[in-house]
Amino acid sequence: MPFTLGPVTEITLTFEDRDLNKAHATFCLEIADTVTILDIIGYATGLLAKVAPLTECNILDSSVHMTLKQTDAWALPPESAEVQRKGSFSFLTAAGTTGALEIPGLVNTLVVDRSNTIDISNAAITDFTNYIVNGPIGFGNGFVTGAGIQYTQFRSARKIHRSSSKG
Amino acid sequence: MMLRFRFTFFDRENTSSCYLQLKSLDTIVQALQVANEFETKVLPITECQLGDAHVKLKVLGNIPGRPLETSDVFNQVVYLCKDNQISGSFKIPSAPASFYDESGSYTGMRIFYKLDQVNPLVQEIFATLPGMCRPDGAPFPQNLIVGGRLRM
Repeated sequence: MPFTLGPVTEITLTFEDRDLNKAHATFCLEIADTVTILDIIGYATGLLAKVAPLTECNILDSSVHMTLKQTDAWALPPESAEVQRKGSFSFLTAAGTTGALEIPGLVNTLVVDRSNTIDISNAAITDFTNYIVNGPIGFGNGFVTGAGIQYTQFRSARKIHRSSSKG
Repeated sequence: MMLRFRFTFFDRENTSSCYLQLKSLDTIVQALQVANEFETKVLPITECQLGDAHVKLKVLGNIPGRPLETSDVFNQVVYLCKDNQISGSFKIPSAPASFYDESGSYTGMRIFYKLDQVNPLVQEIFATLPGMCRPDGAPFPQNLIVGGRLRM
């Protein structure tokens, strides 16, 4: 299995004082991958309640951060790989709007020549877009936009260029 | 609830991320399945390597009646715990004034705190977080030895 749960899960509380300044406090946990998401939410909620008597601030939220460690052996990407060259995939959402996600380092042979259009008849593209819409954990549990609206249908795909941070 | 996945992509010089959200999952095992399946679906369409993935979920707080007038996030308290030779600490901003022990001595940190008052509260944090550890993964010592004020 290429991804495994990292050794430390962090819970970060966000504090806000009367002048709207913010600060954070982070607590680390070692948890097994058999722990349920509800358990983790319980930890985050419980921590929020237990820290409250130790501060005069408001606690805006409790944020859980898990690292999934990549265990695949590192291989140098091909020289032609460029994270700035992205596949921009557009989807219709349940609210009738569109949402997009970008995949860095798009394989250039997937782009129709003399255009920036991605060949959506390609099997790898179809496989990927079906995965986004139909869900990784059973039908009806597809990915959602940042606002929490379900992607319902693949719409279009284009190659774009967008800058990225240095490694 | 919403789980936010961040996948990192590498070429030879730079990194970039892709964000995906799911509304619900039951277990961490499922989160790993999502990440592994994403990798199998995305590798045929990217020339980049995939690095570590990150999952975030947020529980909203908001305490009624807060923040108090005297609250100040820059006025933080360091709680230092030690068992045998292992020490650990965490910082929490803006402690209530009733915790101050003005007779405390100066030891780098400004003022000691009333440990008898603070310790039961800190112990409740430990009880709430089974498996609490230090950032390096070592078990977190659960013996509070000092709380000191720190101006950030």
